[in-house]
Amino acid sequence: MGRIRILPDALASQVAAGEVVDRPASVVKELVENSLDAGAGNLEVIANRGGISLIRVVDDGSGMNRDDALMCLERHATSKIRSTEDLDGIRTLGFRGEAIPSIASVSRFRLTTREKEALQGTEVVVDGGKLGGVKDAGEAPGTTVEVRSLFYNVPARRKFLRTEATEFSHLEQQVRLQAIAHPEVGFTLIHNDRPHFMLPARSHLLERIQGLAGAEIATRLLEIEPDGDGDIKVSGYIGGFGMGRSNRSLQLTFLNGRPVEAAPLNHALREGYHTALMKGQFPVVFLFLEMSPFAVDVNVHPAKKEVRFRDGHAVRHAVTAAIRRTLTRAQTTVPGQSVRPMIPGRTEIPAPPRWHQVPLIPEREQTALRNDWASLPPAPRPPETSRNDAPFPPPAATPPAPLQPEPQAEPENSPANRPVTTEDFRIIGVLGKLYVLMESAEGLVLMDQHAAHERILFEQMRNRMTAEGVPSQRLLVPVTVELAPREFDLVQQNLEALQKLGIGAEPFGANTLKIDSVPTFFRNDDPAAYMSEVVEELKRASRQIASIRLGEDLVATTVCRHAVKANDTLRDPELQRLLADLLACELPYCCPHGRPTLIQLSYGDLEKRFGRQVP
Amino acid sequence: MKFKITKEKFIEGLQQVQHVVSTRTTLPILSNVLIRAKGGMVELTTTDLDVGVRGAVSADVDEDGITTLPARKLASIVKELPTSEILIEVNGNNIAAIKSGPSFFKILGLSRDEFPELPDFSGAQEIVLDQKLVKDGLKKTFYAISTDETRYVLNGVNWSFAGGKLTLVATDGRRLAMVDQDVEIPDLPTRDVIVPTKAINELQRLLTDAGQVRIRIGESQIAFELNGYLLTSKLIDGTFPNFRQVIPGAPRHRVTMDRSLLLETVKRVSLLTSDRTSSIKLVFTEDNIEIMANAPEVGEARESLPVSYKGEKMSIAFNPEFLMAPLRNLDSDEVHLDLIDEGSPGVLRINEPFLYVIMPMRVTGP
Repeated sequence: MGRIRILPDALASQVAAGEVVDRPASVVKELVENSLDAGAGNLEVIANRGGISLIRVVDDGSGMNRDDALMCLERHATSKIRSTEDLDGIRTLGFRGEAIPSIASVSRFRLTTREKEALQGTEVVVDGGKLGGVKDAGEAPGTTVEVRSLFYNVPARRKFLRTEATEFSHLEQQVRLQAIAHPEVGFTLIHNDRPHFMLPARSHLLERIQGLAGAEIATRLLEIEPDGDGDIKVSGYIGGFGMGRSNRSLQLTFLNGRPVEAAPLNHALREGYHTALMKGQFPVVFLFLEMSPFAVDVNVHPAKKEVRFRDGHAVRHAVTAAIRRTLTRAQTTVPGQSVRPMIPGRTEIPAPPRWHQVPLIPEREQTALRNDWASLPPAPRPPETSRNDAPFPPPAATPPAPLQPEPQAEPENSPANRPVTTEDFRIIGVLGKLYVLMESAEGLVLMDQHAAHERILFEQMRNRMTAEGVPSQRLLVPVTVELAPREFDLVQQNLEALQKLGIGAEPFGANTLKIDSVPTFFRNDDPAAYMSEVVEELKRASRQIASIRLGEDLVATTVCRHAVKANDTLRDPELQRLLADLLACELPYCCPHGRPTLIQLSYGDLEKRFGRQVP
Repeated sequence: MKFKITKEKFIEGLQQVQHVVSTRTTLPILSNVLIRAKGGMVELTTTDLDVGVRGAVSADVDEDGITTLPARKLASIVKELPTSEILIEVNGNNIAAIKSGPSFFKILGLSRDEFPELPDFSGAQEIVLDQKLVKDGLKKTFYAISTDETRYVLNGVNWSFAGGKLTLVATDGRRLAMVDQDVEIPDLPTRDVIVPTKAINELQRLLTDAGQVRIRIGESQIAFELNGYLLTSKLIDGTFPNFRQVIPGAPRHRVTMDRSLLLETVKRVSLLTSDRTSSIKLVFTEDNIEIMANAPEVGEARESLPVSYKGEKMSIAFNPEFLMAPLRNLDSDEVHLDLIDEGSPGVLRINEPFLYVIMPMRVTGP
C-alpha cells in the first residue's frame, strides 16, 4: 500500500485552520466578516479571558435556514461565490469557505441562527470538528457563533497563545479595525462580562478612529479631499505635516471595506508624504479605497491581508495624489471646523486677543469639538438593500460592500475657507536668534527661521530645475553600470526622465547602462554609485513624479548651506518677508528634511499649562 | 643630543617637512618630526605613512643623537624665538630643552623607536629628469586631479615614461590635462605610476627651476630626490583610465585666442552664473566669440572676443571653472581651442606639448 493518503476531513480542517486561525483575534476577524457579509446592522462581540475561553459573535444579519447552517460547516462550502468569474470580482469579505469549518475543527463550536421570516431557528454544535448535534432553537433573527476553548485539541497551537491581556488587545484591535472599515454597523465589545466599548450604528468614522488611535491623534487628522471622479475613489482621514510615527501601526488602509496591506499602497503613502515627514517615519493614515472588485485580486493571502492590484500604478497615483491634495489644501485654506494645529482657525474673537485677555476667551469651538462628538455631522445611512436579503445572497445581488460614510463635506466656499496670509500672524520677536515668535488668533506660533528659509530656497531651486532643466556635464569616459534585470527595466522605462535630470544614460548590452553625462551638482560623485541611488529613488517614487525627485536630496543639502542659520539676526522686514515667502510655499509646514517649520502653542495648551483649564 | 643652529636654517628645514604631518591622527608619533643630529647636519623626517619627507640643514652638532618632537609645535616655537642662535639639547627621555637668548622651552618628545621607517628603494628603477621640466609639467596638469575619493585612481597624476617621453596626465572624469614632453631617459621597460595628490603637492613645493630630480620607482613606492630633500610616497594601486582614447580626433574648427584676455573674459562673465553648477556659453559667429552667462533672478552677462573663425554659427557650453583652470596655470600668450561640435569635447592647446580636453555641458530645457 502506498504511503500517500488523503487526510481525514477533520485533520484537513485543522491544517487549514493553521493558515486562517492563529489566535482569538483571527477567529473574531473571520466571524465578524461573515456577519458583515450577512448584512448585519449591529454586531456584538463577547469574549472571555482574551477570547481563549470564549468568543461569541452575535449579529442581526440575514441568518440561515437549517440546511445552510449545516452546509456552512463543510469545507469549501460558501454562499459567496459560485463560479470562477465570481472569484475575479469578489464583493464580499470572505469567499474561501474555509473559516467556519476551520474554526469548528479547533474549538467547541456552537452556531445558532434564524432567518427573519422563519418561525424557528437552528442550533448546531460541533466539537473539535465532530458534529455534536442539530436541533431547533428559538432565537432572535440573525446568527450567533460561539467558539469556546479555542485550540483545546491542538496543544501545539495553544502553546503559542500569549497572555490573556495580549490576546485581548489583538482582538480589540481587530474589532476596532472592522469598526473603522464599517462605520455604518454598530459594534459592541464585551470582555469578561464587562462592556468594553459600544459604537452605535452609523456613528461617525472619526469617532471610531478616536477609539483606536486616541483623541490626541483623531482631532488632528485631515479629511482627504475628494477627487471627483475616477475609477479609484480615495477617502478617509490622514495626519498632517510632521505627524509621523516610528512604525506602521496607525497606517491603516482599507480596500472596499477590507483592511488590507499592499506594497503599492505603502509606496504611494511614502511618496505622498515626501518631505512632509521626517525620514524613517510613517504617516498616520486611515485610507479608504473604493474600486471595482475586478481590478483587484484578494485571493493572495489566506487571511486576505494582502491584495494585488491589476494596475498598481494607477492605485499608487490615486493615493499619492489624494495625499498631496489634502496636505496642500491643509495649508492654503483655513478650515472652518476641523482642528488643525498649524492653522489659525475661526474663533469667536474677531480681533487678535491681548495676552491678559486669555482667561476671558470664550470656549473655542475646537475644544468643544474635542469633547463632544455629537457635534460632528451625522453619517449618512448606508445602503439598506443587503440587510434583509436572502441568506448569503449571491454576490451579483450584493451591492459593493458598504464603505465608510462619506462625511458631509463642509460647504466649499464657506467664508472660513480662505488662504492663510501674513495677516493671520503678528510677529512678536525672535527667541534665541532662531525662533520667531508670532501671535495668531489661536495662540502662539513659533517659526524656525532656518527651517523656514530652507523650505523657501528648496522650493525655489526645485521650481527652477523643473522649469529650466538640470545642466548636465558630459563625462570624458562614459561609465558602464551593471544593474539587476528588474532595475535595468525600470531605468530603461525612465530614460527620458533621467535625461531631464541631467543623466545621460543608454542601454549598453544586457542589463548594462552607459552613462555619458551627469548633473553638474554631482560633480564629485562616482557615477556608478550615484546610479544605484537613482535606481533606489526610482523604485520608491512612482513614475509620474520621478523626474525632479531624483535630485531633491541634493537640493535639500545644498539649500541647507545657503539658508539663514540660527544666530543670524533678522530684522523686522526680513522676518515679514520670510513669513510671507514661507506661506507662499507649496508645502510650508516642514523643511525639506521633514522637520517642522512652524509650531503652535494654542491658547488651549497654554491654559492647560497654567492650570486655567483642567486637561 | 646637542646642537646649535640658526633660526633661519631651522625654520627652512622645518617648513619643508611639516606639511606632511597630519593634523588628525590616532598615532601620536605621526605628529612628530624625527630629528637626527650627526656630523654637522641636522636631518628632519616626517611621514603620514603614505608620504614621507626628509631634509637636512647644517648645524653645529656637539653631540650626535636622535629623537622625535611634535612638528607643528616645534615649528611655531622656533618661528617666535627672539634671537637667531638656537641651542637644542635632548636628554635620554626625549625631553628637549630649547634655548634662545633669554627664552627657554622644554618640550616632550617621543622615542624614535616608534617612528616609521621611510621605505627602502635599493634595487629600484632610477630616472633622472630636469626639475624645471617636471615642475612645469605638474603645474600644467595638477589642477585637473579628481578630489572624489570614490574613484581613487584619479586622485593623483599619472606618470608615464614610455617612448622617450614623460607623459603627465590628470583628470577628474570631466576634463583631462596632459603634458607629453620629450625627455632623454634610458629606454627601460617602465610602467605607468599614479602619484597621489599629496605627494604631488609636496613635490611641487620642493621643485625649483634648476638642477635635477632623481626618481626611483619601487614596487609600490616612489622616491624623489632633489635639492637635498627626499620625498617618498606610496603609489596609487590601480590602472589609470586609457587617456589617449578620450583625446578627440581632428577638429573642425580651431580658434586662437589671447590666453589672459580669454581668462579675464570668462572670469568676468562667470560672475553672472548662479552657482557652481552653472555653465557659460560660447557662441561662435564669423570672426567673433560671444561668451555669455545668465543667472535666474540675477541677470546676465555677455562679452565679445574678436577671433579668427570662419565656420558656421555654433554654440557650446562649458563649466567656467573647467575653462579657467588651465588658463590660470599656463604661461603662454596664446591658446588654441579646437572644437568639433556642441556635443563633442573641446581641446585647449598651446604651442608646447600640452593639451586639455574639456567636456561640454548640456542644459536640458523643460
